[in-house]
Amino acid sequence: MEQNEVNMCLAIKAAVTESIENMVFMAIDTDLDGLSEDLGSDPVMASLRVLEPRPGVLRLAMPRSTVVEISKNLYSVAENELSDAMIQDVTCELLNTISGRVMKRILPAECAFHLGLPEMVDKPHDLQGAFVQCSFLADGNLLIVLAQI
Amino acid sequence: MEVQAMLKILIVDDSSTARMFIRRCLEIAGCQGAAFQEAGNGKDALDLLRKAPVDFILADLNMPVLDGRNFLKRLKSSPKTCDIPLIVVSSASNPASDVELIAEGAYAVLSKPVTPPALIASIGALIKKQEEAHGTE
Repeated sequence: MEQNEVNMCLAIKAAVTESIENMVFMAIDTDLDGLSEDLGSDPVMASLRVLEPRPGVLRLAMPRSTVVEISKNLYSVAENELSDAMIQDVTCELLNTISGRVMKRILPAECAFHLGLPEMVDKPHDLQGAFVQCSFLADGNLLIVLAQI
Repeated sequence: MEVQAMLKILIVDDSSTARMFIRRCLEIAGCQGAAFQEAGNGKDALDLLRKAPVDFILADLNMPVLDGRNFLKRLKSSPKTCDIPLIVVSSASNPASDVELIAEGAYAVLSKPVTPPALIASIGALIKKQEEAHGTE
C-alpha cells in the first residue's frame, strides 16, 4: 500500500471512530478477524462528492442491519419504529460527518474544503474502481468507507 | 449548567438526524427547558425568524435552497436579526473557514459530531454575554 493510501486509511479510521463513538457510543474495531465483508442482500449505500480543493468522492456502505443498529441507538427507538426515510437520513448524515473529519485530517489547516450534499446510491457496482477501502466493525456490525480523493 | 427555561433556540440543518442529535446534545448541555424550533434550510429559517425571534441559532453550512453561509449573511444584514447569535455546526468547518465565518458574524464554529461539552462551552459563554448585555447577574 502506498504512503498516501496509508494516510487516507488512518484518516478514515480516526474519522469513523470519532463519529460513531461520539454519536452512538458504539465501539469501532478495525480487526475483522476473518469476518466476511459481504454487504448482504440489502445493502445501504451513500455517496458524497468533494468539490474543493480537488474533486473526489467518499462513500459509506453497510448491510441494512448495521444502519438499523446505529439508527436504533441514535434515535433510542425500536426497529419497528424506524422508517426508510430515517434509515436514509442517518446514513447520509453519518457519511457527511465522517467526510468532514477525513478532509480535516488529510488537508493542511489553512486549506478550506467544500463538500457536496450526501445522496443515497443503490448500485453495488458503483463501489468498484480506484477507491481506498477501509472496513470496520461497530459493536460487531460491518461498515465500509471508500474514498477516491 | 442550568439554562433559563424559556430560552428559544432555532436549529437549522437539512438532516432530521442532525437536528435531533443537536437538540439532544443541547438538552444534555442544560437546555432541556428550552423552546426548540427547527428548519431544514436557511430560507425556511428566515421565514420562521420573521414570525418570531429566537435567543440563538445553531446552523449547518451545507444545505440546499439557502446554505448556511448565505443564511448567515442575510441574518447579519437585517436590523431585525443581526443581533441573534449564530453558532455554526458543520462537518465542513476547518481553521481556515472558521476564521472567515467568525469574520462574517458567526458567534462560534463547532465541528460535527457536536458534543455536549463543546456546546456547554459555547452556550455558557453566550448566555453570560447576553446577561451582561442586559445588565443582569
